[in-house]
Amino acid sequence: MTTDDQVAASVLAGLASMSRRRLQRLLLDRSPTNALQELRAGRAPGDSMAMSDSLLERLTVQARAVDEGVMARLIAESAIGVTTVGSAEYPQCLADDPERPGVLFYRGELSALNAERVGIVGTRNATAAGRATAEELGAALAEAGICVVSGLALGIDAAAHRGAVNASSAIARCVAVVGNGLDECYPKRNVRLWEQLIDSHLLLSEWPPGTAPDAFRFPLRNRIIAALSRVLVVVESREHGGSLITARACLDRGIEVMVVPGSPKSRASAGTNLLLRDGATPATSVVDILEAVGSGVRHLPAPVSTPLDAVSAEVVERCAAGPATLDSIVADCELGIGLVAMAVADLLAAGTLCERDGWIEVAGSRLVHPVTPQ
Amino acid sequence: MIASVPSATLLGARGYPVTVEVHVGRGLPGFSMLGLPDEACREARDRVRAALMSSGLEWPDRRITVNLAPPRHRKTGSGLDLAIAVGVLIATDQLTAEAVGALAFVGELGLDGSIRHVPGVAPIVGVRAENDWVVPPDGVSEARVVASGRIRAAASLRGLVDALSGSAQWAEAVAPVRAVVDDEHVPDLAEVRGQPVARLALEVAAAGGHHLLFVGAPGSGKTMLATRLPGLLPDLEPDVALEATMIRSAAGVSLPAEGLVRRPPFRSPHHTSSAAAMVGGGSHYMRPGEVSLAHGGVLFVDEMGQFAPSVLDTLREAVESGTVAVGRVNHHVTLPARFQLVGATNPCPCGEGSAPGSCECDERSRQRYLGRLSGPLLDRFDLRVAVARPAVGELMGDGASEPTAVVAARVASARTVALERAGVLNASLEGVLLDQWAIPDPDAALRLRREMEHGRLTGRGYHRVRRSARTIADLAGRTDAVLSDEDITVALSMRAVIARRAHAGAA
Repeated sequence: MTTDDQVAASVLAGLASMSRRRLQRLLLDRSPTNALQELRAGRAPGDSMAMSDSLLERLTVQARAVDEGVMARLIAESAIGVTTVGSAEYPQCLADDPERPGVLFYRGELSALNAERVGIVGTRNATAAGRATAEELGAALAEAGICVVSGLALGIDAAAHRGAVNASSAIARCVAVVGNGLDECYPKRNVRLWEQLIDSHLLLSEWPPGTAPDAFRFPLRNRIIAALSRVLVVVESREHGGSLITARACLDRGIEVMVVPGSPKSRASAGTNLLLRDGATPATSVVDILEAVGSGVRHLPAPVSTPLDAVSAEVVERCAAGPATLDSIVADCELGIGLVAMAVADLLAAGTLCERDGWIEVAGSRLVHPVTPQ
Repeated sequence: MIASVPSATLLGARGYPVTVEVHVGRGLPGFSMLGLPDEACREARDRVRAALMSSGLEWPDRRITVNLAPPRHRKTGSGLDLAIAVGVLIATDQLTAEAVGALAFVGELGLDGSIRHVPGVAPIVGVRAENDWVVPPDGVSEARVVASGRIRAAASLRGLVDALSGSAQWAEAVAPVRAVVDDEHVPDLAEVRGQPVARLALEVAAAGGHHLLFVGAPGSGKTMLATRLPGLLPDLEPDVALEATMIRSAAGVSLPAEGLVRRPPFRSPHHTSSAAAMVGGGSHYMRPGEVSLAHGGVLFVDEMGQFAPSVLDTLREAVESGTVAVGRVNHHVTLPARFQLVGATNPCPCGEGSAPGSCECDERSRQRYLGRLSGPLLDRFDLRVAVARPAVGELMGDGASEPTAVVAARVASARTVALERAGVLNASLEGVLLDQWAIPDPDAALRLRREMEHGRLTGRGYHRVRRSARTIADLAGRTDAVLSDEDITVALSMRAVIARRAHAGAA
């Protein structure tokens, strides 16, 4: 693909009135440079593209307004790779998808996609246990040679990436699909992850550099995560969460959706529990997921846990059912305030529990470590 | 003829003596008023004239000059009406100076000659306490609280003139006709179901004078809890009661039937309140603000995150100094404002979520929301408690909770212990006294050290935790100087870390 073609493809991908479907059909049988020229001349490129006069007019105006020099500079400055559907570089795993992106922008190693891929998604506002679960999953899958696909959002997504990127003995790279241009990090808080992903993993987007992270782009981004995943794992989601869009996109494609079960009392698990009710597969351990992918099952060492006294055990059990205030623990366990406060303080110090704004929750992952016969 | 009648005006919560001098003499008929009257005061001319005429008295067609001495500070409000009217009557020989004697007057005149109540009767009378006073009927009870002289009530100018000239009896002071507040009725703690820790926090706050912050979603009972705090507090000390009465009178807030404010007040300003409404102000009259109206009692600041930052700042200054100083170009007023602060806030902007992971608000928006209270103000709260909506079972259950009376008795004895020990409530224990009376035992000291090393407790927090732990121990009857690990742990757990910046990467 020539540089001119790359720039032209970027311009086309960024046109406000260019739908995703129209873009990939447009680029299927002609070069981006040619398509852009036609549009700018006010001609509908090719006769297969039924296009109303008003749409053509809008696209022409928009295409004429873009400065190719600026676009070329943005691509070059951030060393962004551009590939279009039909070109040799275009990832095979996306090429067969009915909603494949017409133009794909990437930074990092495109070869990351060659491994078996598992999507891990979930809410931005997650519980501590949810984040710990995603992180453990990310790390364990990376160490099992599986490429973790997620969306780099705050909360579950970032935790999954962090686990995969920081895993000590990872043998697979990880992929983040984002909803903005690849020239600027979003969300800003994940800037360290963003850099790590560029350095030795893969960042994908269907939007040219300079594109802002508008709300409507994220549901579109989710379909790419779905298309890339062999299995999707939803860690935590409320009843109307964006992760459910990804899950729906997977079901449309016949991709298996797995769910980490949560307490019915915790609102952060309301959406995932709905998925379970609708027939998703529960994922209670890393082994469950490895089996679903058909990858070699490794026996993970179970972490050593110290036995808890009666009061502490009751407190942990209450917190495992969902984040709780000291008030609700005391009321639910029907124990003295002093006793519970002491137990909570010790468990906080030991790292079994953690606290945010006066809410106490279980710090550790919700995954279990099944003991398999040797 | 010339007449001189004593009265007083109001500035802030204090009265300032004013002598109303009236001169009626030859010249073009007219009325001029000197001595910095404000607009309401200047209007006295027309009210006094109409009141005299409709009371069957004569308005002189001569030159009338009224001087409000001393002319240095601005006179405000309509409370001088009555004194001006009496002055005109003396100066025109409709009353004799001997009949009036040294009586002082306060009250607003209606056009029909009726005498109406004005705000601030208590401080106005108080500044000339040795005088005999004539006040509106509604002001009698509050005037008697501060006066050493005799208090007379007059309902109309005609009645006043008749009584002064001896042709009629003084009207008996009748029961006030304005609405009186019933300070005795505060909601009972027995109505609060469940929430054992929040209840304990309330008890500790009452016993130790600690400021208290509730963090919780709407419906978690923050307001319900806060309104029960005044019921746990003992009656006001006599000097504080007097100050509170003066402030309430000056602000025109209704007083109890007997005039004196005995019970701790409860004020709950709305979050749209301006800084002037909180600390007091107004161009001439300096109405006491909410922080002063809460003097001796509880200031409940609901929806704390919604208050303008400048308003919260003024609040912090009041908390620190126990007084507020309000300055305007030509006058400066200091008002007492020693109150117990109870704050309440939602944990996040949507208000829905409180538990982690239960709403759409991400870490950043939560921090931005709670961050408005962060820093020095948040640091003033010895007790910071997260409250959750009680479970249905607790709400519906018929297990009776402890009533206010029982808890108030414990609070009273703990307060007595603290006052006998150090002369101050535990929240005000400082320096040597704190070190002498709040010694953590070895286990507790180890725990505190660990909390500090992990950055969960600041140096100032260390002192604050010891103070609230001292109160917790006092309430449990453990009044020796040593604090157990349990006391310290409970105190620590009632000091939730709010709006902590998530450490990098913990998105």
